[in-house]
Amino acid sequence: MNLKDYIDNHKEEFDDQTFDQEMVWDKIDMELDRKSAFSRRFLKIAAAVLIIIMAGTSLYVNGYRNGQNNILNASNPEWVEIESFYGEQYTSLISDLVKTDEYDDATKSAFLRTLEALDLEQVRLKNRLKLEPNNEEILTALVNNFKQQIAALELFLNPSAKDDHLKINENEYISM
Amino acid sequence: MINKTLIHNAEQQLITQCVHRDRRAQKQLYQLYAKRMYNVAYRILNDRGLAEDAIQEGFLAVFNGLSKFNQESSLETWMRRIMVNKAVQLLKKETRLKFSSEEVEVMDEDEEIESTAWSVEDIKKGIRSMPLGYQTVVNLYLIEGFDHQEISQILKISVSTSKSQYHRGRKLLQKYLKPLI
Repeated sequence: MNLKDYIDNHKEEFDDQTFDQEMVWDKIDMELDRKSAFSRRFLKIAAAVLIIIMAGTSLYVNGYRNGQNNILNASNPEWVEIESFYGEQYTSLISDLVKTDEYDDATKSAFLRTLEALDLEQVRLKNRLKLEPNNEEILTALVNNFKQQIAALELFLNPSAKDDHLKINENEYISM
Repeated sequence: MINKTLIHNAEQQLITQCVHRDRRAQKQLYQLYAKRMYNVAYRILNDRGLAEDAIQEGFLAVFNGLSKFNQESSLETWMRRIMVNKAVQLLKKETRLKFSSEEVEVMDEDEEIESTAWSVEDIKKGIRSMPLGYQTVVNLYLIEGFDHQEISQILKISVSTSKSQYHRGRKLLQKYLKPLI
């Protein structure tokens, strides 16, 4: 029998060294814990950044920051007042959402995604308003869109206040 | 046949659980292969502490990379390659091991000795008596079963250097074993 064949036939006998398996596993176990803690921290930071980006995008789409992004201002003073009134509430609620510890970052991101449809609807309505600046129907739809977003945010941030939303809000800016 | 299928299915399940970071499954996989992998590392490093470090790093790499394991080879072969890479990295760090490029020395196949008189222990001693470079290549080729292409990738040397190191190493090993026949 040549050397190679001999080794192939006795392969298992070459694995005769032993070691403290438990001790090495404990080190691996500790390292796995450390890595998963790091991953969790990293994911948390990434989710927080994502929330800020999503919230920022949402604010941009709604376009309140000092009237920037609001090309309707000049042609429609009524819209400026609507946007200012609801915009402040919306901005403040988004800021509360970013700060709150009630929910983890994944839940916050998931919630913001549910508002995306309303954001897109608002863009569509604003585009229509550009073409028909005095269309009351569009203004009403925009107000309702704001109300829905604000109500959803308030409900998410304070679920116990659900009943309050069912009451008529006497402080509403406009009633069409 | 049924046993092979059962083992394969059990291993598949274990892999899936490990991919999902199930710590109990990871420990089970470790317990299944730890001894074999430790021996792979020990043969390359000849040092218990370094071999333990190599498999510690190796198993962490296995758990991190298991989702990319494409089943082209067996799980053991894939893990063995990872452990060898970790051990070689440590060996190079600890010993500054360098391989000189040498031309292939064509060995006369008739020189091959044939016997059953030697033992596993004799072969291990013979390999350990060689210079480190030969030792590493002979271990990887004869014991771990890698071909010269694979060894060249593991050690980052040319295929011809791997071949020449192996032939010289084998010659030394045969010289060591000859008096035992």
